[in-house]
Amino acid sequence: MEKRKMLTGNYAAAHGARLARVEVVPVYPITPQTHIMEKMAAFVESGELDAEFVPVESEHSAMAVAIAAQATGARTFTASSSQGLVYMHENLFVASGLRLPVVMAMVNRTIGAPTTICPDLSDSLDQRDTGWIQIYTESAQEAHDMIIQAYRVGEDERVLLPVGICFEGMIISHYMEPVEILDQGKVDRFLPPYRPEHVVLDPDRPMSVHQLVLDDSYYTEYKYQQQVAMEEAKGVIQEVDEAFGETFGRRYGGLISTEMMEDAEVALLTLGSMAPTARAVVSQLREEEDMPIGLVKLRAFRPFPDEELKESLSNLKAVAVLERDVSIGAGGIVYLELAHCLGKKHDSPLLTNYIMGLGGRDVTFEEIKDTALNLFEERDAEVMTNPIRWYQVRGLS
Amino acid sequence: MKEINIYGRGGQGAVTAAQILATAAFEEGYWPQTFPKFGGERRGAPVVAYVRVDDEPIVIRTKVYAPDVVVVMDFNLFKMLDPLGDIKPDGTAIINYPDHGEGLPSSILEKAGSLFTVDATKIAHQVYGKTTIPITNVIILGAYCAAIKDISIQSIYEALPDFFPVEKIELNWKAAQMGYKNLRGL
Repeated sequence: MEKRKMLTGNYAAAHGARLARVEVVPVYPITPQTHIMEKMAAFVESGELDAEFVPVESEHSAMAVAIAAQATGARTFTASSSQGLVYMHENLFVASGLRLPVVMAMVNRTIGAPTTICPDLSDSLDQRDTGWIQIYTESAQEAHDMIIQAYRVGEDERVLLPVGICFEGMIISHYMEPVEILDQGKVDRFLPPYRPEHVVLDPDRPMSVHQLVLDDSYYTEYKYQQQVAMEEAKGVIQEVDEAFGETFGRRYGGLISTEMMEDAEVALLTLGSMAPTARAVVSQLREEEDMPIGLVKLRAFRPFPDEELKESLSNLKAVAVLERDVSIGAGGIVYLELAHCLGKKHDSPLLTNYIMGLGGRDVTFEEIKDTALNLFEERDAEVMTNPIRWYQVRGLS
Repeated sequence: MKEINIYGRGGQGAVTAAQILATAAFEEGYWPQTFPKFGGERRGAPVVAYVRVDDEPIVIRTKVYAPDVVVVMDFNLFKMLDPLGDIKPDGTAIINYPDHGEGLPSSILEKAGSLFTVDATKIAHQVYGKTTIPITNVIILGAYCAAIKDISIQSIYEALPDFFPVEKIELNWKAAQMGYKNLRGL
């Protein structure tokens, strides 16, 4: 039976991995992820989880062990943050290139310098070209549920890609709130054991894996297949979300979730922990001011849901992208991708970008409301002037 | 929705106090949320933990800016920061302070709508013995239950096993009850 309990986001994610019956857990500690490691170690120690816990000497090794373990056919789980995730970077390409559906909790934290243990999304967004699926979550419950969904998505034979379930450190990892821990029997029916055919390191069934592909052999085709798999993942993420809803009575919307978008003229688009506060703002503006505004929550960043976003946003007058990350020298990472996706057609909505909440700076209800009200003021402009905005930088007049 | 800020110093258990209070509220059927102000954990450094309690799931994810209740686990914190600076005008403060609250500066008295004290440091020394940093978290939760009355002290007791080993439950339960009995209203 499902059981509701007070849990932090970290513990909720760890329970998700336990229920997925992961078999190998290689992990190296780093704030704000460390509680996941501790909880997984406790599950193994107490016998609640029958898994090999591998305390490695670095994140780079954590991913190396994950790759090797998954290649033997074991379901593998790890977690990292910040410098740790960046240190894994080169091995992330190996996991996806070998088509190994490792799942990792990416507990978002800034990358130094300057050092802080507080969150922004730059660490996981920085991994966007590694061939990992990335899903962003807004609560401990969503993190818990998505760890379980991640295995079913990644292990689907149309996909076979690693999956990162991302949630902001401190704001989700350390928030304690009621979480429904899923029923093991139902999870077992939803998520059958991992039984790979494509890559299995087994002395009884010799197979050559990770070969050298020189000159004009098949490197392009390997990469193309990954691209095809990522495209396939779009449908699979949707299917798995629907199946999850049928089994557990809770759905998240797949690649994106949209709210109050009917007859909307403008929309806020955000991801992660800003989404619930933005939802509260949009509800208030709808109910109290009768303003035609909607909310789009980006859940999947890889694969990037271009068709879904075009469908939701194309007829709007203006969209503001609120995000806790930046690509220095360009703009908000999600904004840049969205601008590329919507293109410069004459009927595309005006786009604006608020870079806010970096380094864990609180993003309040009033601040999000401020961006929404700006959007209404600017919605009929010819062009959006100064679209990329660093929100409330101190010391500027 | 009720919002509660709990101030303490690293080692006193402010974050645990917030989690116990939230768990007790959860046991009573509320939808709580709790989280610490994010900083490196250092012994003795100021710590603040936030608690929200509501009848329905809480969606907002921001710090608390106008608390209904402020709990101060160490009076020395007033030298470093202003724990009552953002309390609601009719808010309630519960402060670890000796001598039945006599001699509490008027600058503090006038900030809260109502104010209670408990000599949690003295009780901590009685219950846990002398420690470098007095562990006042469970004691102050007992005082909270006596002052605010929305969470029963019995629910605090029921939450304790989530946070302490079996052999420490009765000791902490005694601490909570002493906090409850020794609350002083000013």
